[in-house]
Amino acid sequence: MSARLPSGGSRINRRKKIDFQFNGRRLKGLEGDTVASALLANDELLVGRSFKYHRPRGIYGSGEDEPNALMGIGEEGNFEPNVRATDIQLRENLVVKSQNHWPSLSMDFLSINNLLSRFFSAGFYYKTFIRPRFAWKYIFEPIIRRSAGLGNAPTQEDVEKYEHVHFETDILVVGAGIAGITAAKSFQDTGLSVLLCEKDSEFGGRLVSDSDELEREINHQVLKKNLETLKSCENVSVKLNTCVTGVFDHGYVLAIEEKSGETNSPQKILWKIRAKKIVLCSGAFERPIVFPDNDIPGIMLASAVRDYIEFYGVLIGDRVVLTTNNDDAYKTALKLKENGINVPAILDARKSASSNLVKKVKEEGIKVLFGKCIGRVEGKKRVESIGVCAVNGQGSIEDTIQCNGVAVSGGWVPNANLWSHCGGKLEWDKKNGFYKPDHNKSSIGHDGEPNMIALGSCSGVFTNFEIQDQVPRKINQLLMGMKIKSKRSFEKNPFRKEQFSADIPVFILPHGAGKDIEKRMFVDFQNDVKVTDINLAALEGYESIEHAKRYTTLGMATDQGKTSNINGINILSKYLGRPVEEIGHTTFRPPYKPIPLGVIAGQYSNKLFKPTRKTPIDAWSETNNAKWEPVGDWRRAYAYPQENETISQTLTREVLNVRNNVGLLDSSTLGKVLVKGPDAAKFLDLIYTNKMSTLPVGKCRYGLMCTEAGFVFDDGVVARLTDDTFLCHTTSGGSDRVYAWFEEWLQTEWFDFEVYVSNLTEQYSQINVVGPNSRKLLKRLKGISLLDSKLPFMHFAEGFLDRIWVRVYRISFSGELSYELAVKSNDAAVLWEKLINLGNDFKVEPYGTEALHILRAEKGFIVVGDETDGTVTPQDLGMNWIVSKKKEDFIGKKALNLPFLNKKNRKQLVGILTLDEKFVLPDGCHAVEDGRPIGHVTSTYFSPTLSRSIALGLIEEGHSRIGSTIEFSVSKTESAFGKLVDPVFYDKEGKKQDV
Amino acid sequence: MYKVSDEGAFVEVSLVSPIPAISLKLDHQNLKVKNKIKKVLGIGVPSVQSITKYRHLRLCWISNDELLLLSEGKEVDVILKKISKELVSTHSLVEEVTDLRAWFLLEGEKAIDLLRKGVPIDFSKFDLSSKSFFRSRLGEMQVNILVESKRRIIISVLRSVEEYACQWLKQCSKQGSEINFDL
Repeated sequence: MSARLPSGGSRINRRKKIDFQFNGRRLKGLEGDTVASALLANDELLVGRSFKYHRPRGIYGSGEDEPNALMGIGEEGNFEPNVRATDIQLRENLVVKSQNHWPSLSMDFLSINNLLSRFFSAGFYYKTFIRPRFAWKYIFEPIIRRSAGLGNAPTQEDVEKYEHVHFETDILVVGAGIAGITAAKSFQDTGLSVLLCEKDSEFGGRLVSDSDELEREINHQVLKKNLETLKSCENVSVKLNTCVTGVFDHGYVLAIEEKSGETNSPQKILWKIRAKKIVLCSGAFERPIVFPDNDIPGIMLASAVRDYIEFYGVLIGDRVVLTTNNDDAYKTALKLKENGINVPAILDARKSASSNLVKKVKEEGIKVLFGKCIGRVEGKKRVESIGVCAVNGQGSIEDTIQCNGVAVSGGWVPNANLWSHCGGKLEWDKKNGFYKPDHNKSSIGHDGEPNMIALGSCSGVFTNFEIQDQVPRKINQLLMGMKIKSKRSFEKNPFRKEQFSADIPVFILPHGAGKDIEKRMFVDFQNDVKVTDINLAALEGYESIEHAKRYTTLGMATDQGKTSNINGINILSKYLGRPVEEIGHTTFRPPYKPIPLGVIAGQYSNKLFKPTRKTPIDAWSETNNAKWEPVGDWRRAYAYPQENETISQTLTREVLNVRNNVGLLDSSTLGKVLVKGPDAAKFLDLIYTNKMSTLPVGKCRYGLMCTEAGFVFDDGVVARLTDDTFLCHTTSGGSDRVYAWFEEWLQTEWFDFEVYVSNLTEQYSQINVVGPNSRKLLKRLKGISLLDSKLPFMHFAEGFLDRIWVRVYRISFSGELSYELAVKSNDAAVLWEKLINLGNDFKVEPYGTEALHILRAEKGFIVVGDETDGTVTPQDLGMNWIVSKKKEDFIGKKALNLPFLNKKNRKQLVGILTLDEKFVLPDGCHAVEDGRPIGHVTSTYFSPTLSRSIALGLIEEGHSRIGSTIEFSVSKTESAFGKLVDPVFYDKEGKKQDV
Repeated sequence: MYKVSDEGAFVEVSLVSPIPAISLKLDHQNLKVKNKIKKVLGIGVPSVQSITKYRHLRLCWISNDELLLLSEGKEVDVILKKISKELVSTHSLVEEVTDLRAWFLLEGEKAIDLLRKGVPIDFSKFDLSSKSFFRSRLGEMQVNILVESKRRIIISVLRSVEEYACQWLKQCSKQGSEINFDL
């Protein structure tokens, strides 16, 4: 049984007990525990069920390589699924739930899959469930999705806090093991800024934890001295609990900082780091050996067994057998023995070994069986015994050893994931049996130079002595490459040279295992990939590792195959009889370990999700019961309902008030782009389809812009302020787009034009005073004359109204007498309130965007984005009049002459009057003819002015169909009929606006 | 001045009154233009990402063809007329932009750290004790950053996102959310 030792555990505080829940049961852990160590301390060996077969699984590792112990952590808004128990610090009252079982972890009915495993081999879903056809969608797939998988997605809003931080550094050192610390301090006095990121909460990696009693004090002192030096390096910043999760182009690196204990501050922070050079000291993973029944709870990586004892004072069992091919695992045996644990045997795949470690183990009385391995593991939910067999045999059991824990080690492999993220290549180290970074093929930085070096065990250098020898040398080379001279002198290597017996790279044991045994050997625990699955993939022709990976899902789980890739590659290599170098490897991709979506969103959720642009009149509208709608990035008042009014009643009131009295509209959102320079007129002639150079100073002209393809892009009124200055109005959503469009053409095509443009959208707010009483209302404000003789239609004037500077445009988007007052934004709210309060007897009322739309639709005015969709030309809109025939060129001119854009059957804008006058067509509904769609409705309203429904639509050959009646499909079963008419429904002569 | 940040925030943030401002688009690299600016404003053209100051005027570098003039005084109309007159024969666009932006004052030792949460600028490259001026983004907002000193920074955003900027600065300056380093 797993349990807590009476003493030990460098990371725990034995005086501080912590209550937590596991699957509804209350358990106790200690401060400093991870969820994994706390579960083991409570003898919870069974912690999950496997992905496909629902096999019982236990904790296998101690870090981010853990494939089995995925948990749902927290509750309600704090719930997070698929979290590795090895990665989570235990908190008071933490709720932990295991995943992927029904009805309970202990008794999982879905484990029937295990009995049916012969039907669930790799790619089974490509071969079965083919008939009956309907069953896949409605029966098979839903069942598979329910029975296979990971945790459930949270159902409630995430209440955790996240943030982003931007950080720039010359050097990023990843990992604060002895290699990382040595590397970071090597940059002292270089003038370079250095950021050292360590995913763990402590420095030193395995330096102290893996030391024997003799080395421990020396290593501890070395670490302490190094940290003191590091502390004195003013150019070095250090982040603990910060895991680098992705390396991207040009030294852009993402790292996640995890905080704990502070509830009001962000719990996870996404660091967006820009580094000129990256020094990778990310360490190594222990690789398991694949053997029969190797997934039973109680089997654990040898290094993890050590970690749990060293850091948390927790044991995997009290009779632990080791199976290995290397000396390092012997450290585990000694650690166990040191803590009074019985180690019945070490099964060493090698023929012999005689290093000091091996000798020491033997001296401790531990039996070492060379040339032996595990041929069988007994036990269902925990290990009960193992069967010993010969390494070179077929798996015949020679002996049985009673035990309740198995520690497995296949040696260490470099953790080269980050090296690969941005194109760094790996090379196969045949002697050691692993892939390691190829230093000649690193990723490339912004300057085209290699921007990453790997040091320490992630480069395939494992002993402290060798690391201490390698790191300063390599950093010096890096500095020389950067033309920086290091002032540091090389220090004496504080470590002693270690002697190890050579490892033999073995991946699956026993070597002669047949299919019956291989099907009990798991390679990828998280995706339930067995040796037989990889063999099957190869048999079926998936010989490339990339294909085999996708067919079997090897290495495609959330751990990205940290414990399975190398074994998988070698199994494929063995089956195909080809060297591993030829098989190659798959590509590691960010993130290095799973990260919550919340941390990607950072602080940009809820109120900060997206900036909402508000006008200076927004606050008035808010207090006056405005209903809102989004328009581009803006929020605009949709309508101003009065007490007990329905929206429909509000719209009717607002429209009729504009037609009969006077209405005020906040149109501040309209884009305003100032164009100035000797070539401004020439430039605008090229931008707009109509001519702007002929526009006199003091006048306004409506203009339309097309893309190069001839499609309508934006529209608005242009006012000529001076000979060389134009103010171009754009749609509300289009100001930034149009400004960028102007700049782009000026910077790329017409760079010789003397034109400056400036986006003044927010400098000026705009208030539309609309209706027959508008002039009377404005007359009450002292200032510029607004008489028709002084300010005729399509003119503007500048001056003061009641001591507020304004630019008044005599233009109309409603068909009524209308003045649009541009005012400096800081004065807008004051002017608005003045106008509202001045005109009670004229019945002045605000109106919103929906009434605006009804008013313009009654007049047949288009709205870019409603009547256009990026495929509509001015001709389609019946606006040939605005396309200059005289101009030599403008954007879109060539395209507008193409035959395709002049085809007879193009969709053209028409007005629609439904035969049933009260029936308002649904927006976007299709016009159909003989069952074929021939167009759609673009705008549709009930017109209070006309007391009937009106609509605009784009209909095939619409212009020639005017007068005919066509069918509109309004639902699956219903149709309505409408007569096609001219789009102008109201005051076709335009008399009302020009009075 | 309206205090935006919470009590105990690691940077004190305040919304300040709009700063009278004039945008100048012109070829300010040109010696003749430089001289005209010096003549009319008594102030030299700033180098990249910096500002020049004369009495109550500050001239900020926006881009190779744009400067932003900030005036502590209220006489922006007078200045605008003077500049326009001086530059009448020079291809330029001179426009008052006082109403375009909302301004915030950030005060505290860690003012730069607050900006680090949203601004992708390598501040470490600059000597922040001198006057610097940056154009960048703060989250999704366009931002101008005027560094008066390491512990006093003025930023501006478009006026339409003033409320959003308040929320952003309030949340990101909260006590406990400082950027800290270990060791």
